[in-house]
Amino acid sequence: MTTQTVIVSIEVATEPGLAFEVFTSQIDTWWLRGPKHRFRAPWNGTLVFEPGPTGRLLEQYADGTTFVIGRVTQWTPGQRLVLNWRLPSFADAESTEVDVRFEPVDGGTRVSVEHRGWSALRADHPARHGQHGRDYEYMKASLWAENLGSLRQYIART
Amino acid sequence: MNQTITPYITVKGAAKAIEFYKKAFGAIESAARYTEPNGRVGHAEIEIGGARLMLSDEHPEIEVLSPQSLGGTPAMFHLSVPDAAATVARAAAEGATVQRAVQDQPYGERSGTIKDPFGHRWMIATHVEDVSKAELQKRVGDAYKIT
Repeated sequence: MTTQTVIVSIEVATEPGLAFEVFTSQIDTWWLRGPKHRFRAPWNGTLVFEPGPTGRLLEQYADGTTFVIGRVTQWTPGQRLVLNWRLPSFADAESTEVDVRFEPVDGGTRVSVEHRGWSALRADHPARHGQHGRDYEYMKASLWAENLGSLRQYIART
Repeated sequence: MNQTITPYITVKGAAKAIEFYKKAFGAIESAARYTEPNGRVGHAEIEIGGARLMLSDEHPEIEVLSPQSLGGTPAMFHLSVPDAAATVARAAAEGATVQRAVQDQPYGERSGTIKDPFGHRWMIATHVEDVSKAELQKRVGDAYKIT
C-alpha cells in the first residue's frame, strides 16, 4: 500500500543550523497567509512553533483559542525535524506526518519536506477537496512549493 | 499580463543535471523541486544568468522523453558568457562533449558547441566585436546574402 507521499525541496542561502532556526522560530513570518495556507477561520491566526523534542506547531487566534497542527517527534537542530500534521477536518485518530531535512549544499542548505500518510484519509475526506491520486499529490506539493518558495525569499532578504 | 517564454527540458537524471548546470554554467536552483517517492524529479527550476529553465526527469508513460531516449535533440541553447573557451573547458571537465571547438565566428562572436552529459546542446558564446552588415557580407563572401 502506498502511503501517498509528497516530497518538495528547496535551496536556501544560509547554513543548515540557521535554516532550521528560521524554519521553526520564524514560521509565522514566512508561511503564507490567507485561507489557502492558514489552518482555521478566521484565517488570521499566528503560527507558533514551540521548540524542542516535545514541542508543538500550533495556530493561535485573537479570541484566545488555538489549533494544534502537530507534535514534534524528532527535533535535531540543523538536521531533521519530524512532526505529526493534522488539519481541522481530521478526526481524532487521523494524522499525517511531516519530515523535514536540512542538508548542506554549496551556498546554503537544501530544505526537503516529505509529507506522508495521506492515503489513510478516506476518499471523501473533506481535506481532499475532491482530489485523488496524482492530482491530490500535486495539489499538496504545490502548497508546500509556494511556502518553501516564500521561505527561500525570506532568507534571501534577511 | 506579459508573455514570457521559458524552456522546459526533459533529462534522464534531473538531479544530476542540475548539479552539472551549477558546476558548468553557474546555475542556481531557484524554486521548489518536486520529487516523486520513487526518486523521479517531477519539476525543478534553475536560473542561468538570470534566465529561467525548467526541467524534469523522463516520464515515459506520458511521452515525456529526453534526448537520450529520442536519439538527439532539435533544439539548442545559446549561452552568452564572458569567456566561452573557459566555460566550454569547464563543461568538458564535467562530462560534456565538445562538438565544435571555440573559434572566432565572422559575425563577431567567439563560440563553440557542446553536447552536455544529458544530450542537450549548447552554443557557448562570447561577443568580441560589432560587425557591420557590409563587413559581414565581405567576410562570408558568396556563402550567404546578408539583408
